[in-house]
Amino acid sequence: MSLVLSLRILGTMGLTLFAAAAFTPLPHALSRKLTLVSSLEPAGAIVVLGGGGVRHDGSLTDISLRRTVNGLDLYRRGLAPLLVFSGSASRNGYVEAEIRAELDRACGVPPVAILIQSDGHTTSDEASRIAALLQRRGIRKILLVVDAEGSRRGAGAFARVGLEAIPVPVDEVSLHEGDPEGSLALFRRVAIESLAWLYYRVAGYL
Amino acid sequence: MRSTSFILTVVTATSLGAYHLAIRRFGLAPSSLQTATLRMAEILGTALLFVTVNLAVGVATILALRAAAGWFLSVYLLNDLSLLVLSGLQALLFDSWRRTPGRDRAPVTRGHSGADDLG
Repeated sequence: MSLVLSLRILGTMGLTLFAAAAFTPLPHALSRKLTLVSSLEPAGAIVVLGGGGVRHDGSLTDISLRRTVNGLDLYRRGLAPLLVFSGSASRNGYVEAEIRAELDRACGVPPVAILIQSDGHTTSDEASRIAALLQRRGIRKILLVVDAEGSRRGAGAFARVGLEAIPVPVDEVSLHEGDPEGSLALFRRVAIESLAWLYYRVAGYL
Repeated sequence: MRSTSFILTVVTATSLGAYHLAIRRFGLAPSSLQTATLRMAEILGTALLFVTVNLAVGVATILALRAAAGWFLSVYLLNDLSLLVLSGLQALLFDSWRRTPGRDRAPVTRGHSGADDLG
């Protein structure tokens, strides 16, 4: 097959994929496939995974803030007595986990009910470090606040280190259908997360 | 009205306008539209190839730096729209270059003339 023909086929496939991603419900269907939904039940701790980090002015990114508020909501509903915030230091020195903890303390959560973990950089790394932290306290079951598409991979990574994780998915991208830009953003999330899931399978993290 | 329908309506209307303008004002032949469409697919294919290569090189570099230097570099560094735009520009430039007349030497091919291969 000539190079030109190969490029044409590749281009046509790309165009078809673009049309399907932007103008059909395909990204939403794929996102639902990747999202692990479980019913909420009481657990030993609420673990809020790092995500998005901290902006240059020291405030949390939208993603990080959304997950933090979700964790706070679960705590207020009495689903667990302990909140664990994860999130490493950014290049300008701000530590995501510390800023999240500070925010929740300001919202009335007692300091003894908050743990922070600021050393893990990847989901697998976070799972190992948080498991070490919680297993010392005899905790075996957690509520895991994680992005919707990453919920399957996140729960798997925690299961591998001995914690039963009930995922509480938080949408990073609005799931409103009929918005091409939103659909493309969701498709990008799905593509990234699918690759990440594949990498975790191959690397033995799941 | 949903934005999908609105956007598709606007793009269809301007495409029809451009089609009529191209035929009546610029004297373009309707039959050459097929060739132009194939060329667009070709450029898009080239762009996808550049995206794939850029991502592969980026991920490999990040993993190598992690292993060699011992400090963490996130793969999410590559999750940037500019990479797509730059890959598109690479493809446009490459396509324009290979259509520009003049070569220093014949392309290296297996079995037959490379001129056909490169269009």
